[in-house]
Amino acid sequence: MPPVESSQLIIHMSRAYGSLNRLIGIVRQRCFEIESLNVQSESAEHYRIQMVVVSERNVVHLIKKISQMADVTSVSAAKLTRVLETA
Amino acid sequence: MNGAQLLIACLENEGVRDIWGYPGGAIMPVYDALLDSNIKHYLTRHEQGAGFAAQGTARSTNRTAVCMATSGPGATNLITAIGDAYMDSIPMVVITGQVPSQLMGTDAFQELDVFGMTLPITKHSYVVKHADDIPRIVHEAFQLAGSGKFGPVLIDFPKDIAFQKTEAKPLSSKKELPPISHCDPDALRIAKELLAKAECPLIYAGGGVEKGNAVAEFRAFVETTGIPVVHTLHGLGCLPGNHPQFLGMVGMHGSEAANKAVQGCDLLLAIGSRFDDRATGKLTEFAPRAKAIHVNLDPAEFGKLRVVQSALGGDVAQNLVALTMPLNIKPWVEQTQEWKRVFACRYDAPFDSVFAPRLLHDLSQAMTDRDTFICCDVGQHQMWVAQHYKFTHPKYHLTSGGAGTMGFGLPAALGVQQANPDARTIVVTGDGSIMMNIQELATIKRYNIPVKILLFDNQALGMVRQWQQLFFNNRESEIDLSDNPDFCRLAEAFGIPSMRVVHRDQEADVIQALKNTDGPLFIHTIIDRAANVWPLVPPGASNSEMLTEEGVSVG
Ligand SMILES: Cc1ncc(C[n+]2csc(CCOP(=O)(O)OP(=O)(O)O)c2C)c(N)n1
Ligand SMILES: [Mg+2]
Repeated sequence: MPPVESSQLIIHMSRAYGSLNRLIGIVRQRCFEIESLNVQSESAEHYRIQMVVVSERNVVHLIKKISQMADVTSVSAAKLTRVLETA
Repeated sequence: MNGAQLLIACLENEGVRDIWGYPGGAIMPVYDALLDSNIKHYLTRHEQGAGFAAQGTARSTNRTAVCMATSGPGATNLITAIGDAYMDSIPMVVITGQVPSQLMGTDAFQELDVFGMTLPITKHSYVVKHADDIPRIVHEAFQLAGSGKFGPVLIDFPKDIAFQKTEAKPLSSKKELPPISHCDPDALRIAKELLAKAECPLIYAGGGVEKGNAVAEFRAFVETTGIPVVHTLHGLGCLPGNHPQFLGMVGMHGSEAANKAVQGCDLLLAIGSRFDDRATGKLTEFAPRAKAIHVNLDPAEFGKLRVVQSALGGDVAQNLVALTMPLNIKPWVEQTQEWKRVFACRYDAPFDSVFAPRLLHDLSQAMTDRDTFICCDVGQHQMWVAQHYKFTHPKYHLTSGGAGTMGFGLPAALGVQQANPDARTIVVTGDGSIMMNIQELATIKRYNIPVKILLFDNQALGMVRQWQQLFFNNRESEIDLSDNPDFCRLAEAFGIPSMRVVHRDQEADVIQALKNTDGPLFIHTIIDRAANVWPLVPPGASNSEMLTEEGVSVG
């Protein structure tokens, strides 16, 4: 089994109705778990979201998918060095 | 103006000519506004029918189509068609009525959270919060649905917004879409080097070729390079079915020549395809000794399932033009031609009943006189179409590939025929699938839509029966349909002429009837219950482990 890795994503996105739900849905659907989530309102229109996700899947695919969301202005990710124990 | 009138005005502004839908409480103001519009509304007999009819228009024209329903059950009845459109990247704008804003979240009558339910199966979605937002939302919805990788967009429209007064007007100046990115020069250089070095290159092309409007460039690329081609289900027709370089469909029900070529190639060019499991079989054994070039509009596909040496994102046509060059690969081409000869399909079935593969093969030869669209349902008959009907262009083949939704064919054909009035439209369906949206026979009658229906009746959920036979020790479980209705009388009850076919001698009559009948026609064709789709790669197995009628063929 590939190792479980966690990554931190920074996402700037619109605060349009439902945008956060859609983001969380995509993370779940691509088989990532959210470990922590910090949502800040940068402005009346925009969120800055800091999210730690964990999965055995490659985070690059998640980022590509998120970057295609109509709500999203930018997304970046950093792999966290901590590698979680797998059962 | 109220919100509903503005919504209709905005749809007109987007060039919408027809809407498929079904009214109800929450969407009534929009139906009232429709009365004063030039947009033609088609009433189906189930919202799922409306969703698939809109898909038929979108799939056959590459234009964004519109369907509409009321809140609650009306909206949930659309969900299968939305999910299907999402999986096959079909541009569609879906409008659902919603309970008034102040009642949302109170479990009001016919309030269901369709926005929430469709979040993962739409490209984007909106709940309209103020009538002034309608012009922006409608315009964005059309831009999103019909740009980049196409997909469905939902607009949930609360009833109070429909009545809200507004001064807003449809947008006069349209926002320009950012141009699709150009070729990546490094990836292109690598791809050209790989091509120049390859001894056994193979093209594995899918629906992205047509969606990217790149069929002409694709054909030129194939002709100039001389590379043999295998297609996915949605790629069929990019290279005409009778083109010498076409080896057949790849994958689970692919041809032996196609699957052998994939196993043997040393360079795989995936063009507008996405390494779907139905095409690849066991992924690690798909084109096992090949390097790969991936040409796809959607960069999210790169590396998702297969590591490739060169990934060419953006405009498919431009990338193909940049890659086009003559190659010297004669021995490999001869080898693939040999496989094609040795493993050619045989149509000389010994029995008296209609042999669907032969009928479909002969049908395609007879339908070249004018545009003929084939709308498939899902099951064995769908695979026989893919294997034996020789498509001359991918737009003529409508099939629910990603979702595989039974009940797709008949309503999709309604949308195709209305959008292409001079074309011939044929539904190829099974006795299971047809019953999933049989109510749309009433829509054929109402609008006198000259759709032809070719039903292959094997008195079974044949595809499931075949899998039970092969993979579950022939233990048949809930696949028997021997108590089917009398389909001819059923069609006649809806006012549609019918024809019953039981013997192989009638195959020519079927073709003539499909060719020469002006109005709608329902052809009930009895076929052998035991007929199977061959070859078949068992689920999870490598494409080299094909099962054939004679046994196992090891590639
Ligand atoms: C809505 C839906 N339900 C169930 C299935 C599973 N399924 C796939 S093929 C098939 C049998 C289809 O029977 P029929 O339309 O008679 O076609 P045949 O295989 O007999 O040609 C079934 C049940 C499906 N694809 N779609
Ligand atoms: Mg059947």
